[in-house]
Amino acid sequence: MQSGNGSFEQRLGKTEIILSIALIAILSFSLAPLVAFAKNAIVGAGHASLLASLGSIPVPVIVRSLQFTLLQAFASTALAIGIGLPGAWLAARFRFPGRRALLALAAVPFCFPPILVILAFILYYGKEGYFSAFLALVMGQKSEYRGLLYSFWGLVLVHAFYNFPIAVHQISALWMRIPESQKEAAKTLGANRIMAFRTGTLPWLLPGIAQAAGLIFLYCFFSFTTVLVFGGRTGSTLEVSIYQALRYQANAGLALLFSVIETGFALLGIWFITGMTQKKQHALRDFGRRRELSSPRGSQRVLLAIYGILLLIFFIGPLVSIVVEAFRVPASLGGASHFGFGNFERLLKGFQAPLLKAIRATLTLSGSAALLATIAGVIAGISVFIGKKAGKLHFTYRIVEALQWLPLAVSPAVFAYGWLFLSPDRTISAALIAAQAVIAWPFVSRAVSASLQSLDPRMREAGRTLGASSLRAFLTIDLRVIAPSVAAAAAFAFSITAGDVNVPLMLGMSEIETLPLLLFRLTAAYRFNEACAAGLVLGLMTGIVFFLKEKAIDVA
Amino acid sequence: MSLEVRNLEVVRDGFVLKADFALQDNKVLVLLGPSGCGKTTLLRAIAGLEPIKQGEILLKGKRIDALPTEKRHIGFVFQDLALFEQMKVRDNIAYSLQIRRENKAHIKERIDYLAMRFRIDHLLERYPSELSGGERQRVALARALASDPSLILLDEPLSALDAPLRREMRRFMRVQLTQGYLTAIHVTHDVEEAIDLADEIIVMRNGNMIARGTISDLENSPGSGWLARFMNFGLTLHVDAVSRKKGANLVMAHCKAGDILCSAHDTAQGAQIESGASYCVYVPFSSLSALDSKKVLARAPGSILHATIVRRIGTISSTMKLLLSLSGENEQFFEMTLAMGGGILVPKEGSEIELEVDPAKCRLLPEEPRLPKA
Repeated sequence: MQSGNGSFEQRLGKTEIILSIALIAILSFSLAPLVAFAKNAIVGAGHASLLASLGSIPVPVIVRSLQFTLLQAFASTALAIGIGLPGAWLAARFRFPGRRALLALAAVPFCFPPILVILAFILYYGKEGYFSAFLALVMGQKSEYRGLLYSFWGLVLVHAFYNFPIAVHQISALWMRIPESQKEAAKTLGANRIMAFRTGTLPWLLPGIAQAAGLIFLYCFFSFTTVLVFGGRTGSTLEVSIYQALRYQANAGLALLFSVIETGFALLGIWFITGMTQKKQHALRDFGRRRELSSPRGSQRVLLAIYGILLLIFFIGPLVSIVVEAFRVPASLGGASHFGFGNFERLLKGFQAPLLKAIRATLTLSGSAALLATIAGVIAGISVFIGKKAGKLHFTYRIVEALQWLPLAVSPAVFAYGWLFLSPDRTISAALIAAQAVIAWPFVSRAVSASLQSLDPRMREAGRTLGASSLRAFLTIDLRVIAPSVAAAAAFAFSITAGDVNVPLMLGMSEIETLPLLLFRLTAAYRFNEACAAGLVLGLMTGIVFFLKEKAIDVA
Repeated sequence: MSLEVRNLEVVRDGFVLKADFALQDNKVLVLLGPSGCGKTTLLRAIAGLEPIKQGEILLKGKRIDALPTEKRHIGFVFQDLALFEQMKVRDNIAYSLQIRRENKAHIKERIDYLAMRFRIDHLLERYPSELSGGERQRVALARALASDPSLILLDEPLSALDAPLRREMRRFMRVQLTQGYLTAIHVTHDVEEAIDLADEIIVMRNGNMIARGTISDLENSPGSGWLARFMNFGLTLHVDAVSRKKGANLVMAHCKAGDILCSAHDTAQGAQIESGASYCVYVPFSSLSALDSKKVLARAPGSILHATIVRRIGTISSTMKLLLSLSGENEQFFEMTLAMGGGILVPKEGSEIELEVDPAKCRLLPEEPRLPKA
């Protein structure tokens, strides 16, 4: 027995040295842009430095931006949870056609880039949109409805609709596991429905709701593209302020100030989320298998139908409008509006034929970033797992584990500019790949370490008792289980990087145009139909990859 | 009657449960049956946690089947106990009293009384997660009894405990139920637990009540080979043919293990065996004894079985416990305790012994239980 442990320690010792080297590389890769950005911002290198502008810090601007960021994030989160909760309840309790589709909507915030959803909302809720046309039909006067989009509540609505599927997915997954017996026990003790829910269900559900709310809050807190497009008239989030400080004021010092404040609040959010996640995990540990779904009856069916219809009108409608508009060739001097492939043709054959170039650029740059992120993420994920398993959570492992929260805590602009400062001759494409890889690797790492942790050690032990060596057991058992997770995580990394418009916009790329950038440019130029065509290509690209990822997980 | 369940029918995902029974005051009824037979569903239907398709449920003479759960005033102890983990033990017990807006003095008095009775007075300020399995059981029972319900329903509350604690807890529960003059229905699939707790037993299978009575009623007359096997009351030997014994309600059953003389009283048509139905001879363990070597010459036809000694389990005082297998029957193992000494010789493992059967206790039974007519 002693020798068995000893050999494990020896093996770990060798692996540890290799992993430590790799981890230090990952650490440097992730932290170097932060240091570079901070250095440039503080001492200055072509930008206004923090030291130089200490006396003229625009405190009211910072306060206003912070207030707006918090306010819109709170409002958006509240609305997203409000829309998501009924869906979570329905998905957790009932068997109905479209249930899987409702849960699959959780993929939207991940596989559809914000710019695509923004486009969808403009087409649907904009002044000339389908919803406006419908309202005009109902109200009789088109001029009565001026469009809600370009206002604070418009921004909140877009955020809520973009993020509510996260609430549906996460809360319903927990709700399904909460046993009915506590609620029933309360009833047998005399509690009415509401009281029984408050005693038997809510205490278990709350951490899940809080966790989903925390996550949505962070996404809205860091919102960039949506605010840039819709919030311009009403206010600016910290993220947009950073962009403006860097791009229009060339003031890295001010950008640093904004980003430090942003990171401070984000860390508070992450602390809250991790606390809630632990509470949720604790509750889940005590629960048994997930509950079986029942068929809805009477009033439950009515509720389900109402929710489904509202979802179709307010959420699916905008997404469908992208497809319709992509194929609707607008009226021009040449003829009336009609359906066909005209928009795609214009993008493929017209002036500069940008679509193919954009697809190529997206595949090359995002593919490289995703590959880099996958390699770094797999190494980090395995080392965190090994570190935990051996009970050797020393400094490096702890840092790597903490770094997994990096993309949720630091502005993408900081990574983008940090890498730009580090790139030889300020090569934008290199900075783009590096910055996107830094943002994406923690997602891969988390997926890999979670997959390794979910492995039942008895499977490996069974393999060993049947004669497999340690390596063979790892290759034939562990690796088979984590391989789909690695593939899924790589696909996810690609979805994130391919749909990312923040970093390219921050870097102000002019010579290389990725698909999200093309989409942004076409939208800004009011060429909505062509934007839809480009958006459809981007949506298909990320959607297919995300679909394959889900399939890989299903197979696993 | 404390509880009357009349023509109850519950339909759930294609499963149909039918029940009709009454329960007297201060009695403990045990619903016994294999997993999935509907015993928990029946309990939940009585508590109003499961909708019923038809039938009536009366408690103390009043119909309660239309009332919501919270108005039925029935105590329920769940299989997972369902203690409110976010509340201290004291608040768990006080819950139903606070909902009924009892005054604070009464609540305190009641909690103190129950805590003393259930030996949990030192646990009142703890949270459920800080309790052991047995302590959690006692808290769950105290909580269910706090508001003095007319009926208490216990859904396999002991199933999560290990064997010694389970034994201790069921005896503790039986004492509490008796001393508290409580009317209770206890659900279990454990025969030993049923024997320990029940005044009366209802055996369920596939959503139907197939037998009802005290433990001795069921042992004397199990009604089917399935029930005799499930309760482990005795041997059940498949019958190949039957011949009538003249002048008595006895038949000679021809089995692979030998011929057995038995009563055909329990079969529907007396000794007439229904064509197509499968029958067995039920030989209660209480009807078996080792054949005294001095009486070997006095063997009566149909009263001897041959068994092989598989294991000598152990000797306590002047008795020996044996694991036997019946000759001629595949895999029929059973345990028997033999008195040592006298004319009884206990051969070695692997050798054969002869067992004497008391025909008056043996029954010719259908293999499968007869279901009540719809």
